[in-house]
Amino acid sequence: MTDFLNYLVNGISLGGTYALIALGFVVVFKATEVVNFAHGSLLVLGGYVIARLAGDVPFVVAVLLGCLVAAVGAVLVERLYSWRLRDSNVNALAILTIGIDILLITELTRRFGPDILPTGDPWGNAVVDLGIAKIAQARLVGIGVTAVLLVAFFVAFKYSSWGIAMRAGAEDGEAAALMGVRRGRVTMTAWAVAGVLAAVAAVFLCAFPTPGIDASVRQTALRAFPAAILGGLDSTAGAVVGGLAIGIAEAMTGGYGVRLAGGNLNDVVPYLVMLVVLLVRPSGLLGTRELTRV
Amino acid sequence: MLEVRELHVSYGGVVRALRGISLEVPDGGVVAVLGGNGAGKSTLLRTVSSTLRLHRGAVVSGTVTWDGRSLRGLDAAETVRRGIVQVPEGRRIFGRLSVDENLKAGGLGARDKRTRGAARDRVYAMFPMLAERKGLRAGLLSGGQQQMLAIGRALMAAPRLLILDEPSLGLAPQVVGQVGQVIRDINAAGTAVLLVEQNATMALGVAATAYVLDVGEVSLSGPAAELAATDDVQRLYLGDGSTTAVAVPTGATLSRWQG
Ligand SMILES: Nc1ncnc2c1ncn2[C@@H]1O[C@H](COP(=O)(O)OP(=O)(O)O)[C@@H](O)[C@H]1O
Ligand SMILES: [Mg+2]
Repeated sequence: MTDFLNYLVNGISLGGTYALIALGFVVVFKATEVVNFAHGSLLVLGGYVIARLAGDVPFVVAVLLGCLVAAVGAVLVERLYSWRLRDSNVNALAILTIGIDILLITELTRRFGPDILPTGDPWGNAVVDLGIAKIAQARLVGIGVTAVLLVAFFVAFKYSSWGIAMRAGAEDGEAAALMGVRRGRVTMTAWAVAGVLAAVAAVFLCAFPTPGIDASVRQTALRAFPAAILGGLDSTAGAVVGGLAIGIAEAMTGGYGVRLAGGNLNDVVPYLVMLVVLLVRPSGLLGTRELTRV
Repeated sequence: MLEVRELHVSYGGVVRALRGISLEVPDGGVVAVLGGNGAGKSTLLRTVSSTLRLHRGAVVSGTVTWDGRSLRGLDAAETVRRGIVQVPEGRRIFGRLSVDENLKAGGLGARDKRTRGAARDRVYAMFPMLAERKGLRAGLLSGGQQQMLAIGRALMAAPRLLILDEPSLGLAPQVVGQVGQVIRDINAAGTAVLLVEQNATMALGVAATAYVLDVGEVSLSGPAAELAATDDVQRLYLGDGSTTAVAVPTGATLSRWQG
């Protein structure tokens, strides 16, 4: 039972981080109708900036600057495509993001070299005993920060002008344009939000017990992609549900050491969960669109 | 004043949808544009609202000016900020947003917060039915209610020119009458109206001036009352004086008015 609760709490923490990343996929998809395959690299970019600044500036400042750089990076990707490619086929856009992903991750890999950089977070390897479960302090903070960010996001999405413009534009772009919605601004904001969420996720993805950040975090981050899909790629709530589902599934299978075909099941569990969900609900748990053609 | 001069528009460089259209909408006036399916009515409105690009259409030649300034090359959002707002064909309300959120979306094109607040009060006063359903998902409204919401949403940006693309499409005759009354009220408050319709009875009853569009060209124009008395308009658009909406023949039938 204690094991179970431990795995559950850790799964929620991991799932929350996945939710932040998955939300980035969803927000970008809603704004631009494109799956941003460069999202994982942008996360590494934000994390790299934070780790490089660690020690030189206060941690909070490093995180804010990391968020800024990731946001600017995301907006640049968006500008690049809307500058020339806005009217092209969605698949062409997705391939463009793959190209940017490869360029960015290659450069970041070169910069990291063989090093794993600490993010300089103040929580170190402290562990908190909650009575029912033990959890790394960094992960506990992660749950709190994630909760605050998600609430802030959903309030903005529901009530702010940006949120209304986003939802209106996602439903009917032409009608939104006829209402005076400035598509470009709304879209840039969406990409920037995705960048910020990714940079924050980088901090918690690389906190204890992970030793720090290097370019391989991109692969971990991309595990949030099946989370976004299984929640429904056009559903913000689905991103959170999907993120938690995959985080918990991963923590459980990893914790109990479930093995499959000679490997650890937790490595493939995000994709397994996604496949099962899509077989039952092709548009994802909360999505409205069938994603079989994306 | 909106002035369209010798406007030629094509889609994808191939389909010539408008071939030299000229028309005017005076400040505070109501102008109707009639025509069958494919006559080019929506194309004309897309040109004014700068949404042609979304349909891969482009102006070949001609001018569109608003208060003497060209509207060409603007984007749709900028056109709204200059005071021109369109209610698109088929209403196109945001079905997954609530009634109130639809109005908020309409207010995104307003110049400032004050305009937006005043417009919201005005819209709810004009359509008490919408005020009673603020929190309802707009997709659950009836067709007539959706049309009222689409008009209310457009009014949120406090336009000086309101453009309506076939607002009576698919509505019961009685509701069409209500739409006509709403347009009169909006115009009485000082907003100019450009009304595109296949339902000539309502449109000619509301408008002062009317144009008949036929395969991309203006085949008839003049005071609405005079046009309504024309034999051909009587027969083709008004169904021999009957007051109900009639199905309109395709543009091709009208071609003999040409020249
Ligand atoms: N997106 C488009 N691409 C190509 N042709 C179009 C497009 N939209 C309209 N057309 C053509 O332009 C002409 C005018 O259409 P439209 O302006 O929609 O007419 P109306 O609104 O009067 O029914 C028609 O021949 C139609 O087939
Ligand atoms: Mg039309």
